[in-house]
Amino acid sequence: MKDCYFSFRSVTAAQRGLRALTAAGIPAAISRTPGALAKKGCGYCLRVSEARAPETAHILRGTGVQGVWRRTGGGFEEAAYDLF
Amino acid sequence: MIYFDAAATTWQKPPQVRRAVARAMERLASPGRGGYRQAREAEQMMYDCRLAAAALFGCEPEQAVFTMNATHGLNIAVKSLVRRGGRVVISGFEHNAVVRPLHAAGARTVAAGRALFDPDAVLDAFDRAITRDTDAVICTHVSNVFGFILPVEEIAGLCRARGVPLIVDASQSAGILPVSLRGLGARFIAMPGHKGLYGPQGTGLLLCAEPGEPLLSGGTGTQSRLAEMPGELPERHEAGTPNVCGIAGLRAGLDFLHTCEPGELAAHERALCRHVIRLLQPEKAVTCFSGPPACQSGVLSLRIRGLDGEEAAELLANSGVAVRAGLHCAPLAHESAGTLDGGTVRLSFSAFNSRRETEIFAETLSGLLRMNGR
Repeated sequence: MKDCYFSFRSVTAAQRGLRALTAAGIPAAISRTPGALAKKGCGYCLRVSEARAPETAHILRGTGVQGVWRRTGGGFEEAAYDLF
Repeated sequence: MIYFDAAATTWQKPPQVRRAVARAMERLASPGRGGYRQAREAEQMMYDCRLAAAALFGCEPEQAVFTMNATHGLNIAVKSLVRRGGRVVISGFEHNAVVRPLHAAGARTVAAGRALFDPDAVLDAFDRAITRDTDAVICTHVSNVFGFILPVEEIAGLCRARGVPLIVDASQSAGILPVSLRGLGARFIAMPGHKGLYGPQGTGLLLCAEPGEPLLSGGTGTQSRLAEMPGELPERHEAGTPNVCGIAGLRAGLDFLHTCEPGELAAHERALCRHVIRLLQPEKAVTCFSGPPACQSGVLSLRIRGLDGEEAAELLANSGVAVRAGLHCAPLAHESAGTLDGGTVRLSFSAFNSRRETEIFAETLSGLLRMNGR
């Protein structure tokens, strides 16, 4: 199962998101956003399993998520979720 | 040494604060930069500190911005709200941490509420002074010179009703009296980490109801391609490497406060203050600046007839009692109280002072007065 990356502009926003996911029982991990995804330069993301991504998007809606990506081959593709 | 200068800094800290600082030095690197354990643990520690601050001060964790001290926070607040030439209403008891940034900003400052230990008169003065064309109201919660507790809740109500933003200087109240960003509806509340919060020097918190204008620009570890500071809190005001070890200590200080009953520390400090006032009553050469117990915290100023305040402080220091004399970086407060000429000797208490220490102080002072022919 692949991971989905929910990217944030700041570590604090990612930590807030992690707290919400933990409260909802969704395993997640904070990591630095891969360079290919950090459009404005450097960021933090929450990694969750793809199976939990729709639920995660719902919980994190309006919390400052910049985008959601999943790994494909050697790169990433954007996953379409309603984040706002 | 008997330390009665908590209003400057709480020199005596809970042991867990020292341990937290030492542990941070051993284990933590820079937060918000790398993805390795030492950085991640530093990030988690800082977020936990924001959570503790949010629980204590009625705000969201992101609204708790780490600063170097209250002065730093107040400068951010003034820059965010006050235009050059803008009208600002302040109390008559503000510290230079408020007065100087306003002077530097070219503000038109109106000092309302100059009646010591008279909260009704202060409120009335603010009521008359706050107009809709006021850029901001800035009010200290507790005077660092006299311990006078100003009616900030009522002043906040005036500000909300008139749509004027409020900045509160909680330097002498945070950790002692209730302080809530949400409750007051203030725009900014500044506090040091190293006084009533029992953290190390070099720490502070600015509670922000709005993003405001950054005072410092630099690296934040994220959004590096942007030329300007990030728009979101708290990173908007946290340029550069934070004081990680200090914040670890601050977190331990906040944890210490959570173990105290609400109002316990305020009652303790107030009781010590009242005890000193009673003990010094027989000394005719000593004038204590005291008011009704409900509007005075654990800070007490006094003057000694015929003895310079700084000389008195030096004699006390040589006898093992630490107090502070002079103008306490608050000439406006002294001007309001009529003590600008010569200042006062100030005692200020903490959780770690005892009734017995106040008795030793009174005996020591009496002995010194006898020796100096008073």
